[in-house]
Amino acid sequence: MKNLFYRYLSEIKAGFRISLIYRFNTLVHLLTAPINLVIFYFLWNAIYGYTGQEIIRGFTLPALISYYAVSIIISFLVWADIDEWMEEAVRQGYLVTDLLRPINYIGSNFFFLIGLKLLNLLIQTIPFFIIAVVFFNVKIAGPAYFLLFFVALFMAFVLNFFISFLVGLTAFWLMKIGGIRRMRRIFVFFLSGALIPLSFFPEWFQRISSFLPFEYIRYHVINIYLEKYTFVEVLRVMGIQLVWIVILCLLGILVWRRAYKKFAGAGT
Amino acid sequence: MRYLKLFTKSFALELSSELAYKTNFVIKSLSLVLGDFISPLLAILIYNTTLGIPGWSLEQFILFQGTLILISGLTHFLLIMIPYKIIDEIREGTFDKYLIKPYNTLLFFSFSSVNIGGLAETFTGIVLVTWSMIKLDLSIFSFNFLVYIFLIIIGFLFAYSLMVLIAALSFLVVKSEALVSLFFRVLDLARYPVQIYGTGFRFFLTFLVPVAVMSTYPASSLVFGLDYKSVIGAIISVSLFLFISVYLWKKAMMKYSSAGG
Repeated sequence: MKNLFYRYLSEIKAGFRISLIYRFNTLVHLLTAPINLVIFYFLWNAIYGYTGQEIIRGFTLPALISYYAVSIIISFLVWADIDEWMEEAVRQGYLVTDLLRPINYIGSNFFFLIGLKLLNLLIQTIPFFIIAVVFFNVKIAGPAYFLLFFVALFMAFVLNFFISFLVGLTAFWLMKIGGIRRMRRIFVFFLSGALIPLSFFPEWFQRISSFLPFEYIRYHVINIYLEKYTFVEVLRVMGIQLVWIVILCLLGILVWRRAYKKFAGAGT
Repeated sequence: MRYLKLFTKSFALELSSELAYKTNFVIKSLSLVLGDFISPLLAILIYNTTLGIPGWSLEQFILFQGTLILISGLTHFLLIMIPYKIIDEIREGTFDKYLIKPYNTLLFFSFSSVNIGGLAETFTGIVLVTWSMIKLDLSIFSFNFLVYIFLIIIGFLFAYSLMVLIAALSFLVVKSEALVSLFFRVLDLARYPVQIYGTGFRFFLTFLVPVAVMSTYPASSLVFGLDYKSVIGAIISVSLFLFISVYLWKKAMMKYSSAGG
């Protein structure tokens, strides 16, 4: 057990070191992310002014701006491109070395990703949060909701990890999966409510969406931050997140075993 | 003429390399089309729940978005790979071999960098524009449509000069991918009609970094008729942009030391 702990700790460290090398890119993201927020601000400012309603679909203008700000933070921390790494590893054939290591493949990827996100948290998320609070009047959630938000955020991270992992597994059969990866990005992005909160969607669509995992990656997590839910509702969201994690994790392990048998290490 | 041959050759090569993985090719094209339908979908959601963007009806706004998708489709098809290819070649230290080819280096890259995926986007753009033109009862046999086509070319030229600018800067700056992503963020400002921005910002988007030429100008000249002042302003600023980019490229060529890295 202790041994296992050290193995995964070394993965976290490795991820952290890699992210240190790419810190310049991370900083550029920090500088460009507010542009997005500026666009959303002007767009919705015009729409709210023109429509003349104070609350549209449960959101006031300031709440909606906060929604987008928190959404960007979730993108920073939850985003995972494991499918891209897996495609590379399968096609180049260096997955062989990954498999030879005395460490669980899924686990090592997971902790490596956590390591990558640690630096993001420090030099991207926190500064962006400060920018959002100072320049866009994003309100700071109460301590209880702040804490709950972090728990839900972590679960969203795990959930998204497994979705990305499952997509990555298709590389074992298809080799080149740029198209599927792009599909995954579009689906997760749009259906999680990154462009517009799900409450703006038609009723019937919201009902279908509630049976899909995507909105639990972003929409509900943001609503927890915005204190839109009671504690019971928060628990319900987290329960569903957990169910999805278990389902996708089991599915991931199952498909992984098949992929493992299929893999020949020939590369392309 | 030989550049045209170069282009058809590159196109055929790129197509056959894409077709090597047919499943991926199909899914990729589908995903590109799907991705482009996200913004009209967003428009429909916005117009269903609010009065929308002041001054633009849903159909007009979709025409706007179709125009943007059309121009960015053309950009992805013909232009986007130019800086990426050049950055790769510089890094690998293999850029030199292009300098001794009997072609103008910039034109060589301009005509040999093809990305098939962009065609799917261009197509989506055309579909959206056609749909909204029918809905809005706009004719293609009109002066406004002529101006529209002309402004699309201007928008395309602006995108080209941006790519040349990025390519030129990549000789001078090491971390050029970051620059590329910065430029794309700035282009994001063109996603909505410039009228939603404040006056100062609008000036910035029209004259200093004229991203408005990629969406607002063509679309509004087709929908609302020609606004001479903005069109002339756009032409001047795009020509200036193009001139500066090519000038910087020439400078960069003179500075190039083939060090790789």
